Amino acid sequence: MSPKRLQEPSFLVLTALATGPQHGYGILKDVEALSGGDVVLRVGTLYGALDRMAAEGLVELDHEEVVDSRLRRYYRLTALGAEQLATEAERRRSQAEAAQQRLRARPTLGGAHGQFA
Amino acid sequence: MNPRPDPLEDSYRRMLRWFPPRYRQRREEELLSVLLDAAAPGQRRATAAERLDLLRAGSRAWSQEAGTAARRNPGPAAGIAALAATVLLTSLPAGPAPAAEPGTATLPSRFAGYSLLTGDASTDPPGRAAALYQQGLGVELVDFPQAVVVGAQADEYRRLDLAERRSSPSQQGDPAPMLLSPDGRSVAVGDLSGRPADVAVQDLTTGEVRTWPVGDAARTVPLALSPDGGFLALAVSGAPAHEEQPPGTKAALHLLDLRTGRVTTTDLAAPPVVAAWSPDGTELAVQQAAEGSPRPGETTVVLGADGRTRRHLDLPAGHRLAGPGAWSPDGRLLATGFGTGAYDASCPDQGCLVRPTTAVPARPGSTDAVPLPAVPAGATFLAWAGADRLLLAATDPPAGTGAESVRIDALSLSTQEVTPVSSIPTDGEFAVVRLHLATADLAPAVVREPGEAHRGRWPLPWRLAASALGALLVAAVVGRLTRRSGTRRTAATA
Repeated sequence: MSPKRLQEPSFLVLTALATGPQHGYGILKDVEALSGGDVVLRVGTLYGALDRMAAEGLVELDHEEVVDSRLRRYYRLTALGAEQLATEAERRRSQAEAAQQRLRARPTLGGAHGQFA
Repeated sequence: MNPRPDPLEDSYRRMLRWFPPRYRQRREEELLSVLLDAAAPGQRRATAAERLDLLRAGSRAWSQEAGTAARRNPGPAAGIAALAATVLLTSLPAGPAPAAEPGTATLPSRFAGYSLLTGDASTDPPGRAAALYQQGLGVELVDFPQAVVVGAQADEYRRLDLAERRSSPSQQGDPAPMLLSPDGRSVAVGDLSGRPADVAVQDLTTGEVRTWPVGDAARTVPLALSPDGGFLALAVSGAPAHEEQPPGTKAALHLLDLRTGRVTTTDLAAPPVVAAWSPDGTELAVQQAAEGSPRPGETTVVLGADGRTRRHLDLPAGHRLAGPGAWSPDGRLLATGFGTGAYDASCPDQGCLVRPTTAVPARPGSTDAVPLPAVPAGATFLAWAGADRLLLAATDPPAGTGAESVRIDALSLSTQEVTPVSSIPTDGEFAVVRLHLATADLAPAVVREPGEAHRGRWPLPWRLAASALGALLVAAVVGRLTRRSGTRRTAATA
């Protein structure tokens, strides 16, 4: 069975965790930066995604610490999570490449296919 | 002693109560930490978007818990779903409310409380309104600030969705600046968004909305609608919206003719903060504020309909115009008093909450100010009700003690008696602020016995939710019957 396709927020969360464990706020900021500001996750949405991905074995708790009396939990990618992220990245790369190829082969405006008969 | 939690943390903790206990035990401190880290600088409470997000996340957590329980024991879960669907469906309004009879505007002796099921004025116009207010400050979990209009002759309650939609991010979920016309037939809604601003006026009898662009203004605040609803005094500012800046600052006063769209600029020297039309609609009293520091330079003038200053008014030291309804119905007096709070972003919208102490002569030639009877502690001016009575708003019990209602009292100028008129329940959770009354027809006998509250059709999200729940229930029943049927067939085949 092929792995389930990842929605963009999940893809970005896993990407944020690919370099190492991060806490919730770190993931939020990283996702925003990775998406060029297009995806701004809200806290409830992030934790919904983390819960779901933890249940699927894609992420797990790494460690927790208390900073300025605030609890921070760090999450890390599991081996399964890394595998699924790689698969999804390859799928997206391949789709993007196909789009690029077709755009390169597309006649320019004013060419034979661009004119009305 | 533990330090008192800051308002933002308190606000988030209230939202997190929505999550199941087991989830909270595991995640509350962690979620709170991330929410506080992600909050905008200066943020004082959870935004509407954050509350919706947490409501969704909490619902998902409950649903997962319920799903686990249902898999273990499906009977009770189906029962709960059926009960919820029944409650939702039977709560739908039975039909359109009876049309109001023409006549004098009255207030219910007790308003209906906060409800998430109150429909929109745009979908179901309430007819003439007697009151407009904001209920809710967004500090409880299901406390979404609402702009509420209440019918003048029947118990019609609607959300002024126009003001809610026009709220700007700087207002953190509060409805946009809003103003009820003295005749209760329309509302004017300003714009603090900082984009090219306009002003919108909604007819409460038809729901029709008309908007007027105001040049390159960045913000508009309606200050006063004339008694017949034909002219709007509007504070117009080109300055970008800023939470700490009084809307009057650097603002000009425009008079907008709502029939023709013609704008008359005025010759005010300082920004307008409060304005009140004369009962015949020919003059406008305007409280000005000196730039940067409103109090020392406050001056009050009377303008003609041409926007030119006709005369200056001598107010007692430190006094302000009491609000948009400050001009007495007989045209003789203007209610003034001491401001009870700072000039903040909603000041003109609220009439600046003035504790009335003196009525000054409004007409030229008369110079004697009339001292008003002492008003109860904490009471602020709302409107005149006839030439001899003032209506006042006060919290009951006093502010800061978890008020259960906002009281509307009448103060008789001749007998000096204070009598209770009405109250708006807050249930200790849903604060009432920015209270406006339609003042043109408020007769001495202003109260009616409240009947059943008509709230119009449910807001769209509730209707969709009820439909979805009904559909899920039907699907579950059909699925169950189908499975049973399949099991029987399998058994018969075997």
